[in-house]
Amino acid sequence: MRDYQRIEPAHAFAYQNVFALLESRARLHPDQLFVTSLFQDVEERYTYGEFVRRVAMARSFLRAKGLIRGDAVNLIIQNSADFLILYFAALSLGVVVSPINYNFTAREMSYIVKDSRGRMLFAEEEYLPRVEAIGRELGVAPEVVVLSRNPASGPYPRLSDVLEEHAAAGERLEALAAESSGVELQDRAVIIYTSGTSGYPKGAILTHANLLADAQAIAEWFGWDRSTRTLCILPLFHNNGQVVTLLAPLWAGGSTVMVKGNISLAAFWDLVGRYEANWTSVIPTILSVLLAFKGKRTGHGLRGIVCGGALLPKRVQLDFETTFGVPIFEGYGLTETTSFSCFNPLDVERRTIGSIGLPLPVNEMAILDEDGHLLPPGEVGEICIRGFNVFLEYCNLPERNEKAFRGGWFHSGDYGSRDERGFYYIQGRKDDLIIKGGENIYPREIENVLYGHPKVKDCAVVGVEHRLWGETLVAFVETVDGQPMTAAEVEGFLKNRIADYKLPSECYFLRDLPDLPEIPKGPTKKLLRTELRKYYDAHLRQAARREG
Amino acid sequence: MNAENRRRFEELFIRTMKVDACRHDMKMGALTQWDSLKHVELLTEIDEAFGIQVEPTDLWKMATVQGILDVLAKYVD
Repeated sequence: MRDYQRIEPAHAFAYQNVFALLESRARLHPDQLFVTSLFQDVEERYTYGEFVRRVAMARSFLRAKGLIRGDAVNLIIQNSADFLILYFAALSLGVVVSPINYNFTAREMSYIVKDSRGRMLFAEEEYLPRVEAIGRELGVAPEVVVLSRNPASGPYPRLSDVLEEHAAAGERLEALAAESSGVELQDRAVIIYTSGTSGYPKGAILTHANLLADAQAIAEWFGWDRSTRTLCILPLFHNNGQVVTLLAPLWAGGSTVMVKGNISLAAFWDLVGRYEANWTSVIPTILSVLLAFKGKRTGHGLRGIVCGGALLPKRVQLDFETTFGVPIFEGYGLTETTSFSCFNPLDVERRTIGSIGLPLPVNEMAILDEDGHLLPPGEVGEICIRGFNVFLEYCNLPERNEKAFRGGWFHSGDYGSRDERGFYYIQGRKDDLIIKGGENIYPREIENVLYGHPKVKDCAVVGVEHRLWGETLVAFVETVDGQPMTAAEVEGFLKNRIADYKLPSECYFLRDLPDLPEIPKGPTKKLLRTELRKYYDAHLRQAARREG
Repeated sequence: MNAENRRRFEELFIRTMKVDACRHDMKMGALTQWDSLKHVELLTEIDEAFGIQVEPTDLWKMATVQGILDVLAKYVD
């Protein structure tokens, strides 16, 4: 079996680290546009040459702060040129980047700072209250750099102001390339946090080799070249945004347009047209949202849309393609596989709607049974993956690592099958994961917090269908001695303990549901979530729709 | 913006956000339920009710009730 974590000469990578890829592109095409960033009403554009100069200045700043190879930094920054400049500057030094979901509470952010051993934290001014709370929560907080987006009127500088003092570094690009050569392929590059069952997110550590391998695989699968321009609407704290719409076009020598996620959807087609984007990457709910808007644009230059992160309903795919005339390429991957592991073929005629496609050349995929045996086509088992894009390990979770890596394969926790032609199909999750608007949420996390309320005797959270988000959360609560409790009390208790997007949309109390005397459980007291979902569909969905 | 459109928006906002009243100082993030997902839901409802095509540079203004009213005034009235 191939050891993918040991990079052998036979599988030589073209670049020694992620920064070397950027530097190579800048040397070859210094005047070509690389990044356009639209934040609020401010637009910034950087050619490859100009961008690398900015990265060199940021790198000089990070070095002056004492950061060295192996250290970690956390970024609480929205999609923007600032994020990218700090990202590549850190990677060029061998400093690990761990971005933090800006929707998280201070408690969740603190956990990530501590778990990733962040030495410096960069945050936008609007997150200041939570950043200050991180300091209080941790006692010993990392050094914090608060960045503003407004001209220097307030107490915090813009990144461009900070970098001004390091302008000289931008002129020493030759030295920059030479100094970055110490960063190796196997070095840790990023830690991406994904939902965890225990109540805290788990950090997947990705190496420079992981990022380069997956970026190359995606760029080559879709035949991307210097004319490729991606629109990055998915947040950069997730790997889909980072790899598909940043590193893959970088690999191809193309360019990327950074905009702020969900808020930008109402102007999606204007953004595509204005910036001449020809590819983008989305989650299925974005397609549903775009279909929901009245403005139906055709005549744009979008050649294709990459889609993954949750099940893509066939109806949505077909409606979207018919309405907008853009092919959707469904694929599958996880944070643990850097981003995508498989895709439908670029040849539209060879696509199989409803399938997640064929494995990318960068990895192998298999359907295994509970004992790790390979299952034949048509049989359902666990989707397992091994390859250059499979992550190094979970951060500080040895038991979880042992469970995830067995028999040389990474066990995804997703069930699926493959057909005779090698196309893969997703059947569902092995666990209770809920995917709401592309965010993974384990119901156990919310239940664990709810049990801390003195009025709560028993509770259950389930995912139910939502017209835009795929799924949303519904909570069922049994109170101690049947005492009264309100949805506002539940929300008030959960708020500031979990991120807002994890808050249940609806909350029901068993004392108000005479035909549900108790939370349904099996003989071993295992919660029967399917029964609760059926109950919701049969008794509550219609009423919720009327009210909503 | 005219009183009728203002009233239509306020009703839409109350229904979507499930709040008792629509105050002009309400803003995304500060109101618990107004997160980025709910925001898109709100935008789809506005699109359904008013059928406006917002310029990308106007989107960021729509993170407060007052900002939405200003944008609606620009496109609807």
